Parts: sequence; C-alpha cells; structure tokens
Amino acid sequence: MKIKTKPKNPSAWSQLLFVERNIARVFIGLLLLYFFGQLFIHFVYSFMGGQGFNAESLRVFLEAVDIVWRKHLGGFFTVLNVLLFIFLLYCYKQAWKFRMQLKLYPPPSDLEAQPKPIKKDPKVMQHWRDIVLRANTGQQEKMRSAIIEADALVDHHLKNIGLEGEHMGDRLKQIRAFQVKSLDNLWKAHRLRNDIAHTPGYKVTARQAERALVAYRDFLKEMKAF
Amino acid sequence: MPDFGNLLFSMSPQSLLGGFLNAIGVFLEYTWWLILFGIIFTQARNAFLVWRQETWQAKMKWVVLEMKIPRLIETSPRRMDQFFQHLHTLRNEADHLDEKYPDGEIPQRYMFEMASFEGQTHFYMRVPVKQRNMIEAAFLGYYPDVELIEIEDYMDKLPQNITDLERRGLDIWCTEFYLNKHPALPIKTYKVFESPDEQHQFDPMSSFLEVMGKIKQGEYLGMQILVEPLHRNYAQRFDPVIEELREPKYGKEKMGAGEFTFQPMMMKSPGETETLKQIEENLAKPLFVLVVRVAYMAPKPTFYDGLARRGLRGAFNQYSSADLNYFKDNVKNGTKPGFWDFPYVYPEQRRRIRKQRNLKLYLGRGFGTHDNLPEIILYSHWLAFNLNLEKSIISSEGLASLFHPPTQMVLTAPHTERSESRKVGPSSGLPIYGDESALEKFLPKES
Repeated sequence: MKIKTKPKNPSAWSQLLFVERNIARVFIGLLLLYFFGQLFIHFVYSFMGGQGFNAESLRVFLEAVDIVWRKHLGGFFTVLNVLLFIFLLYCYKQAWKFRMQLKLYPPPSDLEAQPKPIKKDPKVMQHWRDIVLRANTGQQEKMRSAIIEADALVDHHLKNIGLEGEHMGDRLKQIRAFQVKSLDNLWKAHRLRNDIAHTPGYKVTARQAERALVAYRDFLKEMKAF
Repeated sequence: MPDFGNLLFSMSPQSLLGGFLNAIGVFLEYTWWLILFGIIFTQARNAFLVWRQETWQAKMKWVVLEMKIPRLIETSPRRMDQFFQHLHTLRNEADHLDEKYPDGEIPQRYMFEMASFEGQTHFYMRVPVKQRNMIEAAFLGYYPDVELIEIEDYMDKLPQNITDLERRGLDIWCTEFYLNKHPALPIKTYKVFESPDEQHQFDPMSSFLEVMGKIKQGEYLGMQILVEPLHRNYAQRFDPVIEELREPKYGKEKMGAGEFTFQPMMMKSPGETETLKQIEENLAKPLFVLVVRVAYMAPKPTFYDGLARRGLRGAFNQYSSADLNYFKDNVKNGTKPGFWDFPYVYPEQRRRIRKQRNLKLYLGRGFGTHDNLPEIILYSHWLAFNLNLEKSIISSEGLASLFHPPTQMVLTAPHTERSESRKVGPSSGLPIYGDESALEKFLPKES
C-alpha cells in the first residue's frame, strides 16, 4: 500500500522556545517602532511645517525615508552582520575540535595494544642460527631437539613481554588472534612440539619440521625479537 | 533620490529584460543587508548550537553493562516492550535558554548492542552513568534473572582506525540498516511471532544468534541499536496520513443516468483496513529515533562480507511485510563504493574513507546524520559526505521485537556465555539495615 502524504513537520518558528520567540518579537517590534516613528517624525516635519503637500516637500520626505532605511537600519544591520560573522568563525573554530578526523592514512591509534618490543639481543639471532643449522642436518633427533628448542626460545620471549601463566599454552591464550597474525600457525607448531615431547618415538618429517620452524620464525619476527 | 539606472547591469532599463534585472538590482540594493543578516544569523546559530551540543556529548559519562542471559527466559518480548516504554519517560529536552544555548542539552541516547567475538555472542547496553540505577531498576523489574554486569568498553579492543585494521591484517564491512518505507508504517512485531500453541511460537532473535555464531576465529560481527526517545506529541505529525487512509475512494466510472449520476464508492480491501489498524496501533506507542549499525571485521584471507551482509539482511527480513515496513541496508553509505557512485573519482580512496567513517561511527556510537551545514562540514571528508546516512522512526513495540534477551525458544547454549544459576531472593525477615546489635534497641529491655 502506498501512502502519499508526508508527515506534517511543525514550522521552525513553533520549534523555538517560548523565550526565544518573545526575544525575536521584541527585536522586530523595536525595529518597526524605530522605523515608523522616524517615518512619522519626518511626515510631520515635511508636510505639516507650513509648506503643505507639494513636489518639494514630497522629495524631502522620500529622501529622509531613504536615509532612515538605508543609513540607519542598513548601517545597524551591517555592523550586526560583521559581528555575527566574526562570531560564526569563532564557533566554527571551537567546533572544529569535534570534527570527525578522517584521513586517508591515519597514524595508528594510542589504544592499539602494541606488543611490548623486546630489546634486540644478538644472542637470540645466534641461538636461532644454531637451531636452523641443527634442523638442516635432517636427522630425526636433531630436528626434534631443534623444534623443542625453538619452542623454548619463543616461550622465553613470551615471558619477557610480561605474559604470565603456568605453561606456554596459558601465555599464548592471552594473545588474541586479532592482534597477532602468525598466532594460528604458532599454535600448530606448539601442538607438534607437545606431540614430540610427550609421545615417545614420535617421528617428525622434514616438511613438518620446516613448517613449525617457519611458524616460530614468523612469530618471533612479528614480536620483533630479531 | 538615488539614480535607479544601471545599478548592476549596463543594460537599457527601457527594454523588458533590462527593466526586470534593474528591478532586482534595486531590490537587492535596498535589502542586501537584511538578506545577509538572515543567512549569517541562522548559520551562526547552527554553528554555536553544534559546538555546544558536541561539548555536551563529549562531557557525557557512559557505562557499558553486559547482559548475562540465564538458561531459560520464560517470557515474551512483551516485557522488553514495557521496558522501552519505561525508558521513554527518561527523555530530556532543553526547555530553557540556558539549557539550550550555553549547555547544548540534547535528548539522551541509549545503545543496545549485540557483539560476536569469534562466534560467541554477547548482549550489551550502554547507558549514561547518572541514569544507570533507573535503567537497571526498570530492566531487572522485567527480567529478574538476567544479570547486568559493568564491563570495560569492548570497543577499545577493536581496531580504532584503518591503520590499526591493516596492521592486524583485517578488513571491514560496515553500514546501517534503516526502514525503507513511510515512517508511519510499523514492522512485523513480536505479536505475530507469538502463539498460544507452542508449535507455532518462534523468536526472531534466534536467527541473529545463528548468523553471529557462524563467525570464525579472528573475526568479529557486531550490531548496535541506537535509540533516542521522541517527544510524546510526535505521533501527531502522522495525523494527515491516517486522514488520507481513512478517506473514501471513488471509482472512475460514473454510474446512473441523467440527473442521477454518481461515482460509486470503493470498498476498502481487508488488507487496507488491517494496515490502517496496524498504523494506529503503532502510533499509539512511544516512538523512538532508531539507527541500526552493523560491523563485520575479519582477517583478509577469510574475509567474506556476504556472511554478514546477506545473513543479516535475511535476519532483518523476518520483520518485513509486503503491506508494512521493511529494513534495508544502506548501500549508499556502505564500504564498497565504486567509480559509478558520486563523485566518480578515486574509488579506492573513497572506500578507505568510508570504512574509516563507518568504523568511527560504530566505535563512537554516533548517529552521524546531519541536520544543518556545520554537521555536514564536521562529519564529512571531501571524498565522502555524510549526506546519505539514514535514521528511522520506530515504536517501542518494534524496538522490542528487534532487541530483547532471547526467549526459551532460542537455542542459546552454543552461542552465548550464560549465567548458570537461577536467582532466588533472600528469605523475608532478615535484618537488612545493620547487624544483630542494631536490633537490640527494638527488643524489650531486661530489667
């Protein structure tokens, strides 16, 4: 069903407060009083001063009306306009604080929880190199120990950031996937490490080991460990 | 007397066009200061009001309350309707000069929100600190089993701007839903979903919960319902609408012959009568301004806004009806403008700006709509103006259908964190003002 009638909006005048309407009435009333009062004075001065109603007196009267309208009222309003314009600029200046700050490339916000940067330690790099070299041998035991050591390295850094918990899993749970991109893969790697640590005779393929180490490396890089 | 000739245009005043333009020139020469005063005065007043009102809003202190849903709510959304009617009486308005101009007082807004973090849905309300007690009292009066817990604002955990989004590798889809037909028309309300027969009862909330539960790891889907109570007399604006619908309609062909011709009156169809009844019922309830804003954030590899867009559109479609109103997502303010949209240049940059504006509005829970020029200037970027933001008008009944704690028809277990135990009041007669020693003075004295 189609409705054509639009809702009837009340006029802007009736939306004003009672006091506002009265102020506006008094303002307009005073202006009209001044204008018509002047008109009356000049009417008396022009036509009732003994010269009567003729072309000359009419000219004098119209000239006076012109001056009252353009010079007196016009001058008053021009001054008012200038003052109001300055006030307008001032209001914009004050309101400018509240503008929605839209930039194409804004700086990151203060609220963004940045992981606390760790002091870059040359030993970490050395340690990591050892781990990678050990994994590169391709021997089963060495790959396993490399993964476990890489895990310990990451855990060490989680502690350094200030995360608390009994196990590494507890510490990882405090990080949100929202904040750290490589968290998902890190969990997988951590699970692999748990399998290695808890299952006797667990065999790791070279592919698994590589994936796990890449996950640890990405995480450490994102945490700016090296 | 001034010389009336050639004031603005060097055209002969004797010619028709010249005379006409000359007349305009003379008119402007005598009244330009009055016209300019009208323009500058309204603009200065608007700018001043916007400045003061923004200050008023910035001073506002808020509290976010989480609603912990119990295992079972054996009540209908009718209770939420009562709650919103209660809320409507808290409406404030500037009714003195000092409240309107220096303070910049505006009607209070309230926010009701649903947010799904990685599939777990939470219900929130955000109310001013000063009115918290009143609103808690009103809410707990109708939902005694729901727990209201003060929490930190969860918006602080979300990315605050597009750089944050990119750093976390996320993308966003965000827009608002609005009522697309005449504001007097209601939506389909909870009365339609209720039935004495248990087989035919259902709750529209279940659909929202299911969509929000489908969010995967690292994703976020949130919906906020911003309401502002309207004046009690607001419904009077729709009187002409009801008048139009009540008017009898006449057929086109004349009947009869000679002097006795007449236009036959058309009977109203049952549907038309029903619509009129629904409109009148709708306008009898307290009315609110409504803005529904929806945000979906997901990591770029798994980002699929269809889930949010189409899924929520489907959920909102439950309230739509062919003869009544329906919700529509605001594509014009969506985060996917192309080169075919005004101003036709820089589509990528415009997307960035739109994403940011919608994200900021979502985080700040602002209406973002404009009533005057300063609001357009303050809330716009030259690549994306806020001219297309929509707000709608809804009654408390529609609002209660849109947002209420899920009833027992909804399967909440997999999607929400519930409060487990049932609340029971203390047994009566317990001393509530102080300990036992306080009672001693009421006891008969031992002599």
